[in-house]
Amino acid sequence: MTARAADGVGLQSRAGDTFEGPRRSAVVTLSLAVAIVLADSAIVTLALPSILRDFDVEVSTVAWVLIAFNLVLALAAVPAARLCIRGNARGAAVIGLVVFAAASAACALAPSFGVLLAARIVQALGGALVIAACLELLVVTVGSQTRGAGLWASAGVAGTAIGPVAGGLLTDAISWQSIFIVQVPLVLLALPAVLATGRGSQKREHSVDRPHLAANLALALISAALTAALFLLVLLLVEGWRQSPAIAALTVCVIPVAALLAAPLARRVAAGSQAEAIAGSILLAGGLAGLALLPDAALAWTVAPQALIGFGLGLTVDSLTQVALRERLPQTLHGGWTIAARHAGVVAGLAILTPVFTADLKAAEQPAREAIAAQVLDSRLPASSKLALAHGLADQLVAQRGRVPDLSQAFEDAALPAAQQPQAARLELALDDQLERATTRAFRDAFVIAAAIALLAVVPAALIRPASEVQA
Amino acid sequence: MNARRAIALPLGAVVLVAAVLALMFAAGGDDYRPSPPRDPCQQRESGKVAPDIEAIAERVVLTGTDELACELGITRERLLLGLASPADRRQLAADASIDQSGLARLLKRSLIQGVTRLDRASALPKTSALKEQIADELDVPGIAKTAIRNTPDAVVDDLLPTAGVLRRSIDEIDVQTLLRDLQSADALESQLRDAIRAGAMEEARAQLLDKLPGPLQDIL
Repeated sequence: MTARAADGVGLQSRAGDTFEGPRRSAVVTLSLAVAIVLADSAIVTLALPSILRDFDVEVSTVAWVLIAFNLVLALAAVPAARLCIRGNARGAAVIGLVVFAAASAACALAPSFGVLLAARIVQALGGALVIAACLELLVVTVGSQTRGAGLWASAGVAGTAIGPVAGGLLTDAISWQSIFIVQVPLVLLALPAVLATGRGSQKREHSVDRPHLAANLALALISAALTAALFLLVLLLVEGWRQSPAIAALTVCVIPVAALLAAPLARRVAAGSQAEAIAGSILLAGGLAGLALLPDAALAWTVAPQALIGFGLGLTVDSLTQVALRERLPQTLHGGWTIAARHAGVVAGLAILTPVFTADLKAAEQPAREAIAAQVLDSRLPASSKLALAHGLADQLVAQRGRVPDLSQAFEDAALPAAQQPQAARLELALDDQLERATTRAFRDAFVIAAAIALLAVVPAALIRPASEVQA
Repeated sequence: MNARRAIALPLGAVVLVAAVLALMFAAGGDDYRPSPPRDPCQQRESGKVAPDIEAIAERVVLTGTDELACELGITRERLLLGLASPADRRQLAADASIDQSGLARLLKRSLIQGVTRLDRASALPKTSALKEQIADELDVPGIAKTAIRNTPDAVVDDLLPTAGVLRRSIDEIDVQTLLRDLQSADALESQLRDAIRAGAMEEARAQLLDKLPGPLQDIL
């Protein structure tokens, strides 16, 4: 089945729709539900260090809080979409919203890491139903497949981009548990809109288009690379550079801001989905390569690479999603395929990159220890003070079990005389500098691999036929 | 027009990326890594060591471990961290094709070479500069402390040439036992330092008290 212009509304109108009254409220709450579910893919990224400490688990283990959600969402997205098409989208949305809200509450109250993981899996199952059903219901609400899909895709991009920032701010202001508590009433806001909407698209008997392979593959590769940008950058900022989650959240704000700026820019340039996807992939790859080349541990150096990543995100995900849905029926099923592709990409990204950077972090321990030992031995402190510090530093390195240590405790414990404090302060700065160098370097390979993955997305992006050819 | 835009957008992206990456490279992004430890075979700062027994002993240990690290082809830091662990010690010895007692002998020889290197660089203070500290720290009656303080510098330096005292102190150290009983990496440097310091003080005590006038020696 080909070229079925469902409603004649152009893609260009995707973000500029205006609705009134209950319809507007329904559009807002349904979009919010989609954004929240997709934000959950990465919302806990900035909370991972806190979760890691609370449950006393390793970095590679805590990554499963992200992996479990994304894996289940990837696996459940298409079946959930089929359920919505065959059954009724409204019922699926109600069940999805309630399950997602209940599982979010369970995440917040989880007494152990195992319970948290189980709750995340249930959350993803509910989330898959919400996403699939909301696409169907948004189309019904706005009365246009193209506009409904555009709103759905934009909500997804906004959620993905803003998620980590919101999570970081909540973690810093309250706790990581608050991330999940806040989601409960927010997703349930969509319930009245869902109940007020019709059952969804009428059950239609028509053949099913094949998924858009190139667009979905590009989405998967982009998502895998984007995971690196969010997950690795946040870990670098919080664990490597010892920034608070709030500072890290404000720092990574650059990505959503740039992503939001990219949409109007793309409309103005009107270069077409193919060009947008290619340019976006190049920008994303460039931004990740920039993060692999940080010349200092100053937050300012992350701004330009993040801006490239944000522009890349804004140009690719939205346009690729629209391409994947364009002229393909049933649209909800193809929406499910895009979600499956994106989240499979996230899982693949985490599966590839987590072992790389954890191994690099471990390999960085010995050079860091030697650099620290050299700084202490060569410092101008009296030998007895060096010894006291060396004891404390060794304790810190052992206590952190492979994580980046906080050396300030060793200096506090050494309680050096006032006359030695200026020299000790200089030494502490030098040691922190060495640690920052070691951790920044340890993330380098992972960023380079992520950049290569993003660059790979250029290939399927180039295979996308421009819209003009599709219409012809 | 549309085709031109379709090419211009990816080209613009390439230019933007190139500009950012060039900036990162220019700012030293490729060199941001932990400072590599210095080459132990290169002479470190050759300033005079402070006239303090602890500082002298520390410099001797660091210079001596530099000598050994140079000989083994590793960094001083790797050596100091490695000597503290039995497994790493075995590995160090195996890499040098010697056994652990051979490693202990090498360490002792390197410490003595360190003293020689410092002596040749005139970095060691004369013992007369340490008279006050020796007098304060020796466990002898006050009258003997006064006598030590009043001993002419030339006599002290003649009796106790710094490098000689240090070499003899190192000779007395049972490095093998010290290594075997080592509990942590930072303990090696401190235990060697303490051993050198104790040896030097003992020699100072024996030599200086021996030169006191006969009646005073009898009283003491």
